[in-house]
Amino acid sequence: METITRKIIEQTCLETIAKEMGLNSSELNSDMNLRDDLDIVSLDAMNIIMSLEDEFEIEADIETVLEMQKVSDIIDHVYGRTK
Amino acid sequence: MGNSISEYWKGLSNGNSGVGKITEFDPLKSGCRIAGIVKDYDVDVHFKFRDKKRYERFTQFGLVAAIQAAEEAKLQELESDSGNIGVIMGTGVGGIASYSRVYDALFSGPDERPIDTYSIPRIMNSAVSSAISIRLGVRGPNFTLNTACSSGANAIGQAMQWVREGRLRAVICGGAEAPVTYAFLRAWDSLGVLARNQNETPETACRPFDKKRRGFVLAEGAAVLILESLESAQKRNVNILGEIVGFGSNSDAVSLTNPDETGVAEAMKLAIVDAKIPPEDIDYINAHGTGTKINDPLECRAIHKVFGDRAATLPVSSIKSSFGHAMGASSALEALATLLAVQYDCAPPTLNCDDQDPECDIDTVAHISRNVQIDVALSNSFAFGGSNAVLVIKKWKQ
Repeated sequence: METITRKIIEQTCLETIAKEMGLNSSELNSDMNLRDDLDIVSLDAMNIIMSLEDEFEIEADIETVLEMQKVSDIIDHVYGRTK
Repeated sequence: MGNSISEYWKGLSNGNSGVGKITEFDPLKSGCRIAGIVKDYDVDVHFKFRDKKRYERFTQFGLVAAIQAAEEAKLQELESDSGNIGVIMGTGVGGIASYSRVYDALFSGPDERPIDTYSIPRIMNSAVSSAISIRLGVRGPNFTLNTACSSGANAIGQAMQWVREGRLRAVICGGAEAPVTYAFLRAWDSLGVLARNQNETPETACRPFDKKRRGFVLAEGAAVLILESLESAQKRNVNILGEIVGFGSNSDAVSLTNPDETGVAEAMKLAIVDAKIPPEDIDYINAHGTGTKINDPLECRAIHKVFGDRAATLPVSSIKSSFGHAMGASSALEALATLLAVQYDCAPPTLNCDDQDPECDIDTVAHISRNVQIDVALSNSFAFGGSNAVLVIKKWKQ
């Protein structure tokens, strides 16, 4: 199986978040706070994670997802699950 | 028909039609392929991306109408008394479009696709009253009721009772519906009550009281009124559009699908008695008038029962002929039309009543609107399940 690099995951995460929130992915970076900077609430986070689960054929941990604070938390979680 | 009060009234009184071919999706095997769809509605004008995700189309319609109503009634003046303002809306099928999307995600491909996490807030009927409460910051009771096609009228009637009893200072009330999905169209089509034979001439499809009537067409929309005690409205010097003076609500207790003449007549009588006026004072009736084989003669017989000899000459029109049947919102849209008829002394027409059915022995205000003194009017709404709601609307005179 082709190795999925962190860079690919990061770019896909940013694009998925952007699509869900009606933003341009170039406006996003991994340090952003999900709630304060992007107005992402739990329902948005779940939609984002479900898209990423399909994209990378992984299963995310829901409890962890609901506690995520930053964009980098999503990237880290997805990266961890693909390994 | 229009996305503001003035456009709506202009369309109705000019005899325009809001019915057209369904282009939003392919109606495929449906016999009826036409509907009254809201046109020139740009969701991005009214809602930010976040709210667009959150609110299903019926909620959007209800909220847009409520904002217009609140602005006209200068409701922000009552901000300090927001706990004394309620919301009660009616809808028949609420977020049915989101149900369809969930089924699509589950069943339309070889594998399930993710279900939008906003599905539940988009589906739930009470989203419409809740969205209005949140947006306008009103903290009194927040209800959405469902009595099928009389939902909006029951909401307005209940609101009137709250104000009349002094429970609330003001109530935002009405109906909202966006039911035109392929599944819902097919479900109604299977009942045989949709007009199927005029897909190429949609504006002629709904023909209340006409010999060739074949049923109604589905429609979508919303209408919202602000009811307020007279004392409160006068104190604030707001423009009073009219008075809701009577409300009759009852149940046929007969059938889930067929109306009952006795129940319908009693609902009209209840409303007139509630208004404390003699039947002779009624100048106009905005009929339920679905254009189905069963409803129209039954409603006419009920009108004869209530009004006796006057029934043959009392102006009665059905605006479902203009834009179709918006289910739970229809009775709110019709109450609004009745209010405007009273305000402008003008009965909007029944379109397409070319050859009146002798079993519908009433004055149908056929084809063109009629300027006539209207001080008091009835708005009739009857529903599947036998839930009838009739409002009495009176001209406001200083």
